Amino acid sequence: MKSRFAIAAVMAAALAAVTSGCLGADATATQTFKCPSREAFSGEPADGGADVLAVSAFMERRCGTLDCHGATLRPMRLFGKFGLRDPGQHNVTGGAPTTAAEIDANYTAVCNVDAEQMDKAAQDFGQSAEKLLVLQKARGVEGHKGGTIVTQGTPGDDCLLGWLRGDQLSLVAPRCQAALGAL
Amino acid sequence: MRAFAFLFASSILFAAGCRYDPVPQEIIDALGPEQGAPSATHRPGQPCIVCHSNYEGAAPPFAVAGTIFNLKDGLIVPAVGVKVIISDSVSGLRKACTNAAGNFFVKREDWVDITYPLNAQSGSRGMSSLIGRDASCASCHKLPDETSEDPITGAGHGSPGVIIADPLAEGASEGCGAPQ
Repeated sequence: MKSRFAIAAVMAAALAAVTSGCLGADATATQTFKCPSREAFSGEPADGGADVLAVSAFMERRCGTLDCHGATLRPMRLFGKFGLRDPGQHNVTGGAPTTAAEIDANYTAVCNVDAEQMDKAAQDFGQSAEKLLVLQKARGVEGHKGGTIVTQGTPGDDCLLGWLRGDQLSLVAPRCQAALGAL
Repeated sequence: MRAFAFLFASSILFAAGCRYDPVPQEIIDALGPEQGAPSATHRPGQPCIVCHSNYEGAAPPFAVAGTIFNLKDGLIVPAVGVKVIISDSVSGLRKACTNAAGNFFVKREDWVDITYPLNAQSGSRGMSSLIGRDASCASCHKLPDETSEDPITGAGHGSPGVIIADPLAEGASEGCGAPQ
């Protein structure tokens, strides 16, 4: 009788532990990760100056085509004027310029590809930026269905790496624009 | 004998399971039944390479294929005899002409080493974006449906709509001759 009670107690304790693991406070906890400059990504100067083409614009064109990262179900989904449009708005592919909401969504998507490593790169001022999945895939070092997108030393690579290293918009934007010009 | 039958049945099931790929299969199933006999003018505006591929095995397999339309009286109609130039990333170039349905294609055997991304041009109109990996034009240039913002061209939040020809390109395309 005692042993049956003991078994029941152990099972009840195990059930309680599993249940609390699923439904405890951790289930709703959030964790904040840093990401490199939103300004350099978006091309929207923090001082309110005129918008310029920067990282988002390059990635929209080179990565965000409708058959790649502009596809609804693909990871790192990107919106853009010539790709997927925010379904909450009424723009069409090839229509109005990329909206602020779409750029925000792009920033979130790219930052969340590798959130912990991205946080680390933001904290160490880009020293670990070259290890980031987003760059490794773009360089073709990691397996990537789209193949090699940028090679080291080219404007496209400088555009991405400069942003990940924390370079300012004034440095990043010309590289991205040069990369766009080559497409 | 029973063991042999079991193994035989298992291998058939295994082979059938390997062939099934839900991604292209879902697209193929959504295309609907064939209207008439398959030909070079069939299924205009549908994504050609889901079937003309290793997966479905329709012959001939294509490297690139699509359909071009004209806008006429508020409708899309086939753009006939239009020359399309497709370029790949290693300076490869292929030309194709649209037929009576507006369809054009480049056979895979004629572009074995095709290298993405691609770009395409017809008349004075070039694509604004690259083709990253899908050589069926209609995978992105979709026919109008209930999700389209533009019910004529099909443009919407996930499609620029069907390809509309440069009005100056039709019938004036060098080397395109009479459509078949």
